Amino acid sequence: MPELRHPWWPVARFEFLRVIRRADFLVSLVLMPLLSVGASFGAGMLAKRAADQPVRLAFVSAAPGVSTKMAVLDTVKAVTWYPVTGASADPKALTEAIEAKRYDGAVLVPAQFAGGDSVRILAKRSNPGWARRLREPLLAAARIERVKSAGLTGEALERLNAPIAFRETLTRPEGVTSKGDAIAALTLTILLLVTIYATAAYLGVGITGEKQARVTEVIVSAIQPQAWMDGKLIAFTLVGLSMATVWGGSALLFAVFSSWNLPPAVSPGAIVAYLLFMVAGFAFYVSMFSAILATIKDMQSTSRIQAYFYFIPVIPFIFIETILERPESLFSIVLSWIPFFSPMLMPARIALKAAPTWEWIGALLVLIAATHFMRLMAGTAFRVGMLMYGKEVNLPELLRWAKD
Amino acid sequence: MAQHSVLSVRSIRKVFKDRVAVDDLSFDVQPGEIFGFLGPNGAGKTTSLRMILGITRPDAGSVLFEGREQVDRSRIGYLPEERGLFEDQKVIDSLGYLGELRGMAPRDARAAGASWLERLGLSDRSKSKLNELSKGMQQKIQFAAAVLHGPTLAVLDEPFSGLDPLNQELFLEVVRELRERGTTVLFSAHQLNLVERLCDRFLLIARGREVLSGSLETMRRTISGGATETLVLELMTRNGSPPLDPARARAAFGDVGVAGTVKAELVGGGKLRVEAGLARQHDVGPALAALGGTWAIVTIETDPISLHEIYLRAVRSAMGEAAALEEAIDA
Repeated sequence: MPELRHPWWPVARFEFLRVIRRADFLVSLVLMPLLSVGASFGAGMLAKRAADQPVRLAFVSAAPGVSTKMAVLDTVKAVTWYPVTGASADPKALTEAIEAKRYDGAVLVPAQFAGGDSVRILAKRSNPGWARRLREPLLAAARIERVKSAGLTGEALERLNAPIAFRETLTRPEGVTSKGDAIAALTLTILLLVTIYATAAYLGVGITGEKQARVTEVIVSAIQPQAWMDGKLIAFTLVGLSMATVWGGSALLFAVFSSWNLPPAVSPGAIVAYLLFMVAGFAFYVSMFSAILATIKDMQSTSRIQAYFYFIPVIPFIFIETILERPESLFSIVLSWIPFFSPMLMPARIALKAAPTWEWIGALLVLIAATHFMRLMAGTAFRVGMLMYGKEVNLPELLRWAKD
Repeated sequence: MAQHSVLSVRSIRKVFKDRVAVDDLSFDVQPGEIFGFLGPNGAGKTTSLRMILGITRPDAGSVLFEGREQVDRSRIGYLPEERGLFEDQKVIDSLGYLGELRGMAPRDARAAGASWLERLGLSDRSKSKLNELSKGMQQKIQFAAAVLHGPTLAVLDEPFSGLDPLNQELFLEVVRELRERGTTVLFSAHQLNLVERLCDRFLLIARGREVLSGSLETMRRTISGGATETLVLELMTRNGSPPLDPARARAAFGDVGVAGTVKAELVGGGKLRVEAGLARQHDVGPALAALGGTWAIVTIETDPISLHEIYLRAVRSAMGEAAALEEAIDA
């Protein structure tokens, strides 16, 4: 009987089937789209309910021309106004009315509110959302008052408030960004992030499971530790990509069927680049997590230092604003080439037309090389860890063995 | 063309930090042999087996499988001492998977797994998950996983642990069947009464080094100065006989020149117990005549020197020498 030419293959198949046949995997596979749809539906329902049940606000004005201000305030969404005068307009009486739940709050506009006197807000809690929504309409009302007192006409005010027109001329014809590209990049990046963490749970059991079940010696007497690890990496990459396909497909179908509109077009080159970064990025993070997990003997008793490595995939989101603002800066370029971050950041730069083809292909090759390195690290950590009974591998030991 | 040993271990050495686990260990296992690899806990057996299987590399020395340094993993079966299988998987799926890892086609691996389950009386449990089975059943499945691919060399580390006497007997039968099918077996176990019945040759190690090796007969002779069995006599006085005298009893055997040592001591019940290590077919008639003429011989029996006895003597001797050496070094 010849030795297997591709010993990772039965491992990959066994591990893949082992995960996808798990009841909890199937539940999570179906549950995630349902939860997403449910969350979207729930958010819509809540928004509708909020619109149906507006905030009840008492309105007291000492300023002349109350009706004008009321007209402005009528533009505030989800508010029902109750003009109050006389004894009921006293702050003490209003406070009692709010506590008695007749109103949700009160707005007291002084006579000189446009001249600098404070608009008084009575609320149960500080900085309520409805108070923030009042600022713009009240400012507009104040402007009208100020224009009047300055002796200007309504036409003059319109001219003062007229928006400035911009006309964009691109210095490069290829600089046209597409909404479809941006949405696709963002969607696939989020999908990568969600699925990598969803897969990490199975990965933890998959990498440390044999140690706990004490099957490792049987397996590595049959195949090389690296082949075993390769099979695992392939299996869990496929598990994650299967999840991403189901979840991404569900999201796409939901988007289409809920709006009856096709999503905006994505350029073929961009979608290929995003998918390549997603697959390579997934393989990289799976390899990285596996290298970390391979140093752990038992998930129950391990030190928690390894857990900090799990935060790496979310680090790029700290820099995303800078990347979006200045995608061609040196900072953005360097970050988007680093394998820990490139699966998240390079698609954003591609969508912004800030990464020429040679650059993203270069970053992709670096990512693939780093994945290969992580794969070897995972194999080494497993080989070393397997033989160290009763204790876990520490970093100096791992590096020494890798060097050997 | 000369036939290679299935396994040739050449001066292997393994050091963990400052502890020498295996030191200059050499032996050969011939085709079709059942070879007993014995030693006390911590003697370096498992470390040696791992080097043999290619799981770890020796610091020095080499391991040849059929004359080649490259170990063909598909032709080796391994039942490790530290055992486990995939608890969430059906028995037949686990066996199929492990067979595949040894190079079998998926269908053949499952068929071989089913066949071994039948042989071991577990065919009705093929769809069960491992964690639903008793420890003894799990042990049998582990064994099946180690040999279902028909290995050239099966390395079995403590195969009897956790088995009741009935299943121990079953395993003895099955290991013999393996040999009949052409599998060479390297065997490590502490149940010396079973090992003695099974193995053709032995290697006994302690503190990482060889203590004793060869067939049971050879080891008996080596450990007992040429004796292979023990003659045990119990003597009592009869009317008019002199009092029991251990020195006189020993002298009677000294006159016939026995191969091993002669021990004589007074035991309870007014008896003198004599033990003499004898070579096979040694004529002890004159000694018996001399003793029988003086005292009454109330018990007479011969026992071959057991592997258990050989093991105790050899290991105690080796451990004593090693301890003395360490003390000398420390001094």
